[in-house]
Amino acid sequence: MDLWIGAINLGILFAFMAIGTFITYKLYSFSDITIDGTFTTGAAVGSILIVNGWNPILVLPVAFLVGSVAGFITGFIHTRFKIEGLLAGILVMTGLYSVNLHIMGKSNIPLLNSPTFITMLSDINPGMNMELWTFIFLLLVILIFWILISLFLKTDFGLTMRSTGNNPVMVAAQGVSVNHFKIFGIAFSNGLVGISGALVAQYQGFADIGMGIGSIIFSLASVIIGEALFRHRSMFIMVLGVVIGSVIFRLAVALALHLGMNPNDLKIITAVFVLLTIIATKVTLLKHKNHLFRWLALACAIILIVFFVIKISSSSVKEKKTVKIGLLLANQSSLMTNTRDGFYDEIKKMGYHPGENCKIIELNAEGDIPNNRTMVDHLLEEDVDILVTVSTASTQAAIQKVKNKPVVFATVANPFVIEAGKTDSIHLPNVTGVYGAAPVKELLQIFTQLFPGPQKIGTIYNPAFPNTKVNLAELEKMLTFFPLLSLEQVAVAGTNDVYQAAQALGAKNIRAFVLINDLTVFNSLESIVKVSQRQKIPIFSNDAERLQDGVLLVYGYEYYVSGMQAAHLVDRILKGEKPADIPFEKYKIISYGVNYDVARNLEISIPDAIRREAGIFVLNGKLTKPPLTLIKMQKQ
Amino acid sequence: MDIVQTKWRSFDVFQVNGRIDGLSAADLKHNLDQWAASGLHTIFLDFSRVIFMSSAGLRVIIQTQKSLKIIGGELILISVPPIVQEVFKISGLHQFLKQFPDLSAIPDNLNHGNGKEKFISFISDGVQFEDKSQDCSPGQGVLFGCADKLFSVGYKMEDNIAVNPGTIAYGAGLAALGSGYEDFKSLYGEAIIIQHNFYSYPAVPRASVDYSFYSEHATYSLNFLYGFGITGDFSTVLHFDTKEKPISLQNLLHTAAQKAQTNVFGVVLLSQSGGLRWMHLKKSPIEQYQQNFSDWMNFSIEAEDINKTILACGIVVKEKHKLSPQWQQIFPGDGGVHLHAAILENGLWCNKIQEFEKELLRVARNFEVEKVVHLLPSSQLKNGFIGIINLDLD
Amino acid sequence: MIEVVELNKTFNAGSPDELVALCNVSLSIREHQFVTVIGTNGSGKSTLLNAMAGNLFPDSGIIKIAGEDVTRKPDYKRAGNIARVFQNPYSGTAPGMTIAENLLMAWFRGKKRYPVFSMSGKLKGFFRDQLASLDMQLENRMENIIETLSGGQRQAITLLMAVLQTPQVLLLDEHTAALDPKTATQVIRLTERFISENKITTLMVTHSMKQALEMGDRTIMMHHGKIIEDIEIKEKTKLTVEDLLAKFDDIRKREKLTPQLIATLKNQYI
Ligand SMILES: Nc1ncnc2c1ncn2[C@@H]1O[C@H](COP(=O)(O)OP(=O)(O)OP(=O)(O)O)[C@@H](O)[C@H]1O
Ligand SMILES: [Mg+2]
Repeated sequence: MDLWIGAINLGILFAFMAIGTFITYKLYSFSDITIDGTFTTGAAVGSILIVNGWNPILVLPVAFLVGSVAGFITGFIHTRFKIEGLLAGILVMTGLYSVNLHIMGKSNIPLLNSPTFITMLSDINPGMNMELWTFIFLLLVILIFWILISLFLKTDFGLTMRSTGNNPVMVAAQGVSVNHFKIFGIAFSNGLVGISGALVAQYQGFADIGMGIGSIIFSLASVIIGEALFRHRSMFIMVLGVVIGSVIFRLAVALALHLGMNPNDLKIITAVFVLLTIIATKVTLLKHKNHLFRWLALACAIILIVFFVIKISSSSVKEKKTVKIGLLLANQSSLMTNTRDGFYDEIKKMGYHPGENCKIIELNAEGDIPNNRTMVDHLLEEDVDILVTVSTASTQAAIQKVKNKPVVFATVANPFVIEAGKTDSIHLPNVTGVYGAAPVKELLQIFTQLFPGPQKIGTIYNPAFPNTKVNLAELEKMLTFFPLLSLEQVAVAGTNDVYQAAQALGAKNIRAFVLINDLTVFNSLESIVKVSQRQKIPIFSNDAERLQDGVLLVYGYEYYVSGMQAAHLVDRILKGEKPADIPFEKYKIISYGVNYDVARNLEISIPDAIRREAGIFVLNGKLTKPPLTLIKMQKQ
Repeated sequence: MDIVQTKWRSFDVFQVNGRIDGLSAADLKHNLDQWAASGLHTIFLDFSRVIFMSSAGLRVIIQTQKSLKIIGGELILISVPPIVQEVFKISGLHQFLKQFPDLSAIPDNLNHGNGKEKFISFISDGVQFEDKSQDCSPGQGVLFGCADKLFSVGYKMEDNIAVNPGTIAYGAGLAALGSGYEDFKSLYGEAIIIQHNFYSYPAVPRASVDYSFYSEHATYSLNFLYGFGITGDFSTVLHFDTKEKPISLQNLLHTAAQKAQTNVFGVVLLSQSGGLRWMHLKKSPIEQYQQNFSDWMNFSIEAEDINKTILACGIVVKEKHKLSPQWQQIFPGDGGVHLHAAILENGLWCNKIQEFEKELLRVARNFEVEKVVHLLPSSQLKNGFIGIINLDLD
Repeated sequence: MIEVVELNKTFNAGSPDELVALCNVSLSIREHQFVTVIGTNGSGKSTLLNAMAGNLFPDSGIIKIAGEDVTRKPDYKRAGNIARVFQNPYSGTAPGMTIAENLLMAWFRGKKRYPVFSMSGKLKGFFRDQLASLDMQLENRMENIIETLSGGQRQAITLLMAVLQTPQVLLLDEHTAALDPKTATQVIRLTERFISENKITTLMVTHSMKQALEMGDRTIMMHHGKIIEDIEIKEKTKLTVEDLLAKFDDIRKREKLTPQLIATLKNQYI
């Protein structure tokens, strides 16, 4: 049941954003993409203030204010410089990304141990199911807000706002500055989105730099659903429609998860869903009102029927014999999938056979951070015995929500940052897992072995990723052990910047690229390799994955093995051990590899010491890799 | 009500079906008018299928009959049913209407006969001409004033020439009506004389045509700045009938020139217009011509005045260089034609060639004149008459 | 009341489709004067009105309204003094709002709007009376959305909105052009009534020569961005539609004249 109430709660929290979008999109016919950034801004400001000891309720006005400022800027450049609305939104949204990073200082702020409105609520919980209790509270809040905002839109001022969107020529003729009202509307709307962001961050227990992506689509969907449901001119009903639209949208996402839809399809399903809703409303516009309601009633009925049939069938066929494991990935990066593959392979070896004596429900949030939360709810709904989370974001969502089921994380750079624990053995009672910061120091060590003396090294990173920042900090820290090395670093915002960044570093005469783990860099390694080959600058990397692709030397963890390690932890817990008693483990297997082809091309001779130790090597295009077994792991 | 066109022998017969009442009478009238305008002046109406006729229908019949009678045509009713006969009787008008019990009762000579003379006919440029020529001695042409002050110094009081309308049958020029120079000096404009009747179009804003009908006892004189007069018999009158495509004035004059026996000849035109090109003064030329042409002149930039009746009068020369300098100056720089036209409301006239002179007078006296202009040879004409007066200028 | 001095406006200056919409237009309109404006399409009538209303700024020149130089003042700041009715019946009202809401918007023309509820019973009663005076049976449809009204009804409401707060200047830009003749007449009658009742200084663009002559006490004719004729009431009463047509015809001919054509024409005349 938590899945559904959770979805409704999330829907209500997103309703603030949907109402904001309602104002821009419906009243002003302005598709304001700024909110993709503002949502995060609200979350960022709210979270950072909470972490700094602010009251979680008091941060909301601040989130509103900051959101409004962003909206103001969009409105201003749109009206003042006559820049198309969509473009103005994109400009501000793009800019906000950096601003958000600055506000947060890192790409992810956990709120697990900080007071949030949820913790405040739980303090006064009379003993109800927490989700239900939250729901009651949120219902009350949204009710009040609904009345206030509807009333506001009915005042002279609100009326003028609506007229401005309805016929700007006419209101200008009535002495209204269309621009001022437009700016106000956009700012106000973004303020609401900011509040929504701050609330969602508190609800899910963390703020993340990427959590706003796609907001515009989701809230447009909510607005459109609401409009389709309630074709009425009353402000009260229109705003109510938006709130309900937002809830329905979240319920639909939950339903999709519940029906066991392939998580890879979630994005396209969302897109198709939004599209269909828009088409449906457009088509039905031509028809009589009654048709519309009939149509919608039918659609709702079908959804409900499907929902209950599945619900009933799933509860009746419930056989509790098999083990249910929930596996949650944040996105499709190879780091995640490698970990997952390792986990699958190892768990099978240990006698758990999916489809036979165990069931593994794998979900992927596809990079959409709020999705993690819904997925956790879904896994709980499925009543899994244990959750395995791959990635920091998934882990955060899980440990925030799950209190009475074991959670095993695999592939988290630093579990302490997200407040999963204080030390390896002192941690949340239901949580354990495998982690590890990349072995930066060792990599530098090897570098000095090859290139002794004073050297300049260069690195490229995308500050948006939570792990990257940790790794970079590690690199900077470790450099203090190597006083002869100096570091040139270039930050990129995406894969497209990497080539230029590599060239920039090349121009600074670095001796080598020393790459820390970073998804952007991982995905665009070819760009660096190109520069490497042209300017004869070798690449050293913490990422063991891509040795074959032109990297000279890798020293890093084998994420596949972290999956294997996690499988062992799962096994131990399923066999009866308490997670509280299992200390966090570090990654165990190091991949140490040399690409002799690259060495030859760059005219670098590899000393015997390295030749002996590096177990993995590429020679004449062929990768040689010793088999990975747990036996070996245990020997180490 | 509907109308079906049938042929009986060589006549067009219009069979009227149904009721002729207040609703349909207007339709019938419209049809009758159109036929008359297209030159059909004897109209056969077959009433055998008329089931009812009200006084509204009667009115149309009478009106049409009247207007056709004027131009020598008539309305002929065939197979009038008793119910309609009744209506005619009540109104006492049946004796004014020519009726036949059926088509076969119509005498053969009704349409063509009537003492209509046969004329030579020929086709030139796709236009059907009828030619009524006679032997007569050339007429006289007179010239008054001089035309060349117009675009130079302007005219003065002493340039005004009083002309007795009785001395000129046809003519054209720049003239005004009135007594006392101060009184009419600003009212000069294009003028035309048709059978001694005078029409002028003062060159003032919002002009309207002024005219004086001639009577033998008239004592007034016409005030000309320049002009010419023609008196004489028509050696040739051509009737032309363009079926679809109008004929240009230029071509018409060319045909006329072939009929004319002298180097210079006068023409008098009664015709329906198919789009005219013209010019007329906007300012009385007593001041010196100033730079702005359009302040002085009004001119048609595209063909105007379609489907009007026009009366025109002018002179044409075949070989200009043979003329005396005085006469040469009356012709525009470019050509050998100087023609003024009165543009009148559209109306019917008899298309019998022997009625030409009579009709000229009737039209001139009865039709409303809208303007008088200097007509350009690129004007188009639909059908009508052109009369030629040979001129012996020496 | 309105003082326009040497107004110039060129669209797309410097580009191949450069267009001089206003060329040294000077115009002075006394208080309470009702001026009709006629002119060929594209002669700059709307541009002149737009410049007065502040919808566009002239390249040069001065516009003074009630003694104040408003040349550079944006439209919404002038709206307190100037009311407008557009040619398009859809421009003057907010289609998605009710009649009452639209009237309320006009009630606040040129004033600040606050988040309070001004739509009192008394105000509604006032609106109802005003609507009743339109004689279009709209007084009982106050809560209807404008979208459900016909173009004529909308235009009548727009007109009412324009005079709800009596403006100093009323600008009408072919406001009956899109209406059927009967409704147009109705709206014209309303226009005349409102203007005479409130003695508003008015500038009315029209394409109907008849309207131009019959209404107002002065007519200006525009052509190619210039005022080519300024007819005061004394002359106006003498003029007919044909005279106006002839004037336009004249212009048309004047434009076609080239030196060659003049020479040819002269040569054909005498
Ligand atoms: N925003 C614009 N950009 C470019 N050209 C414009 C613009 N607005 C008007 N014009 C041009 O300026 C000229 C004058 O336009 P204006 O609308 O003032 O004419 P008008 O006299 O109101 O014509 P109409 O009777 O057709 O309404 C026209 O040629 C028009 O095409
Ligand atoms: Mg216009």
